[in-house]
Amino acid sequence: MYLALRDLLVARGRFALVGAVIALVSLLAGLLSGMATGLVDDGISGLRRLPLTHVAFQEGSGSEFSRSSLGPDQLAAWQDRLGDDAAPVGLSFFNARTPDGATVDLALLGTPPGSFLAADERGDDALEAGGLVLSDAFADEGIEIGDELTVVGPDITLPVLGFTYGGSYGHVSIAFTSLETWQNLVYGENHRDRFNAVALRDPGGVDLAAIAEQNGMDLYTKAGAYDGSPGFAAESATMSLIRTFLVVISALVVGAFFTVWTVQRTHQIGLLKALGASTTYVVRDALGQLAIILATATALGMVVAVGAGSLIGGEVPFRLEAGSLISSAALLIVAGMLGSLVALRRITRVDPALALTSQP
Amino acid sequence: MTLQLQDINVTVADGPDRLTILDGTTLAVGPGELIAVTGVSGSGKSTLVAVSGLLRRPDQGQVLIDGEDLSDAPDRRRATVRRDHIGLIFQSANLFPSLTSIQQLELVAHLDGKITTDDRDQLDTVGLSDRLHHRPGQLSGGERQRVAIARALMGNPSVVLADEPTAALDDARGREIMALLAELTTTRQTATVVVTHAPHQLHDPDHALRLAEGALHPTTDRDAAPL
Ligand SMILES: Nc1ncnc2c1ncn2[C@@H]1O[C@H](COP(=O)(O)OP(=O)(O)OP(=O)(O)O)[C@@H](O)[C@H]1O
Ligand SMILES: [Mg+2]
Repeated sequence: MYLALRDLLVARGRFALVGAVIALVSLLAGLLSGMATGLVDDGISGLRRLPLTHVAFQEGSGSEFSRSSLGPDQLAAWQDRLGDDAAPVGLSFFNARTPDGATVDLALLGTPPGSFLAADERGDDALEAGGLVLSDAFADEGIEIGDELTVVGPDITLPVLGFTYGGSYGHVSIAFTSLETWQNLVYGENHRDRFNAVALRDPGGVDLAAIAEQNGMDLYTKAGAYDGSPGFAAESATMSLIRTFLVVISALVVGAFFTVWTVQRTHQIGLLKALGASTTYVVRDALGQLAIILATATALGMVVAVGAGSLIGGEVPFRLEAGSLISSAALLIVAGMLGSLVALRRITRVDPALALTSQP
Repeated sequence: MTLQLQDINVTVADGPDRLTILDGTTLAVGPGELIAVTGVSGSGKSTLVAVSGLLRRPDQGQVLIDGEDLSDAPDRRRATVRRDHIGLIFQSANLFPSLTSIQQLELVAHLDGKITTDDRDQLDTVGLSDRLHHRPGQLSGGERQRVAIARALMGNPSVVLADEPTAALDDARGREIMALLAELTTTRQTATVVVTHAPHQLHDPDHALRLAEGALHPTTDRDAAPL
C-alpha cells in the first residue's frame, strides 16, 4: 500500500470530498437506525421490560391483547403446572383527565398484587390499594404522587400512588393497576373474572405449548408477542426497508466513486504494472485505499449520528445501541466493498503497455 | 546475449484487416552494449520497446531475457522479470504525481522486497542529490527524466529500455540525458536500447538501427534519420 497511502495524504482534498459523501450516508444510516430502534422500542418497551418469558393468548387472537379474552379455567390450567410463574394480565388503552383538566393516554396494565409481574414492593402496596403506578414518562407531564386521574368512559377516579420505569406499549406509556381495578374499568359489572392473557415465566422442563393447545390458547415468546403491539409489524417492516435502501444506495455511491477513481488512475495502474507490480499487488493497493476511506468516513458519520441523537433524544424516540451501530457500520462497509467489485475487474484488465503512451 | 528478439511478429486490428507492425524483427543486445533505434513516426518503435519490455506479447517469435524465453510465460512471471531484470524509461518521465523523487525509487524497492540498492546513491548517480524531497510538479523536465532513469536502475536491471527519453527536452538537456544513459550502460553493464528521434544527441552508440517496414536495418548516417 506504499502508493495508496501517499496518494491519500497528497490528494487529501479529493478524498475528503468522497469521504464526506460516505460519511453523510453513514450519518443518515446511524440516525435512521436510532430512530427505527427508538420508534420500534416505543411500541414494545413496556412489554420487553416485564420479567416474563412467554405470553398465552386466546386461540386465534394473534398476540393482540385487545382481541384476546381468557377466563379462570385457563389460568388454572397454567397455575396447576407453573404455580406463581403464571399471572393473568389485562392491557387496554384509556384516556384520563388530570386534576388541571389535561388529558393523557394510558396503556393500563392490570395484574394481581403479588404476581410476579408486580414483584416490586412499593408497586404491590399501590396495586393492593387500587391505585395507579405510573411510568416515569407521566412525571414529565407534571403528574405527581397523590394526584387523582379520572379515567374517561367509566369515569372512575384513581389515585396516583407511585412511579416506576414502566416503558410503553403501542406508543402509549404504561400505567400499572390491580387486575381487579382493570376489570372494573373494562367490564363494569359483567364478566368480572375475565382478562386478556396469561404472562408466563418458563421454569424449564414443562411443555408450555402442549398446555396452551389443550386449553384453547396460542403461546407466544416475549419477542413473538411484540407483533401484537399496534403498528409494530408495519413499523418494523418500513424501517428495515429504509435501511435496506440505504445500504444499497451506499453500495452504489461507493461503487460509482471507485469506478470513476479507477478510470482516472488507469494510466498510473498501467505504470505500476509496467514497473513490475503484480495484479494482486495493484488490487490490494486499490482496495486498501478504499477500505481506509470507507472505514474512516463511516466511523465519522456514526460518531456524528451518536452526537446528533443525544440532541434530538428528547423530542423523538431515539435509541442507539453499540451493537446496532457497529452492525450498521459494518454493513455499510461491506456494501461499499461489494459495490467496488465492478471497478476491480477494470483494474485487473489494465494494460501495462499503457505506460508507453503519453499521459492523458 | 542479455536481450534477444527472434522473428518477432506483431499485428493489430485495422478495421476488418490486420495491420503488421513488426514483421520478423530480430535483435540481440549484450551487457554494456547500447543500441540506438530510429524510425519514422508510426513505424513501430514503441511497439518494439513494449515487446522487449514484456509489456506486450508478440503474435509470433521469442523474447529472451538473460536466456529465458518469456514470450509465452504467464503474466505473473513476466511481471516478476519486469520488476527484477528490466528498467523502463518513458517519453514523458511518467512519475507518480504524489511521490517525491526518493519515494519514486522506494516504491520500486517496495514492489520487490529484496532490493538492496540505496535510493540516495541512485539519485546521486544521476546528479539529483539535492532534489530528493521534491514532487514531479516541482522538478524540471530534465530533472524528472533523471529521476525516471534512477528509478529504472533500481534493483540493477540487466536490460534498460528507453522510449524517446529526450523527446520532451531541449537539445542540450537531451544530450546530457543521452550521455548519462551511455555512461550508465558502461558502468552498470546493462543491455540498453534507446529509441530516439534525435540520434545526433547520442555520440557513440554501439549500433544505430532504423526500424522500417517492421524490420531493423543498420544505418550509417545517423543524422539522416527522418524526424
Ligand atoms: N493497440 C493498438 N491498436 C491499434 N493500432 C496500434 C496499437 N498500438 C500501436 N498501433 C499502431 O501501430 C503503429 C506503430 O505504433 P508505435 O507506437 O509503435 O509507433 P512509433 O514508432 O513508436 O511511433 P512514434 O514515433 O510516433 O512514437 C502505429 O501505426 C499505431 O497506430
Ligand atoms: Mg512511440
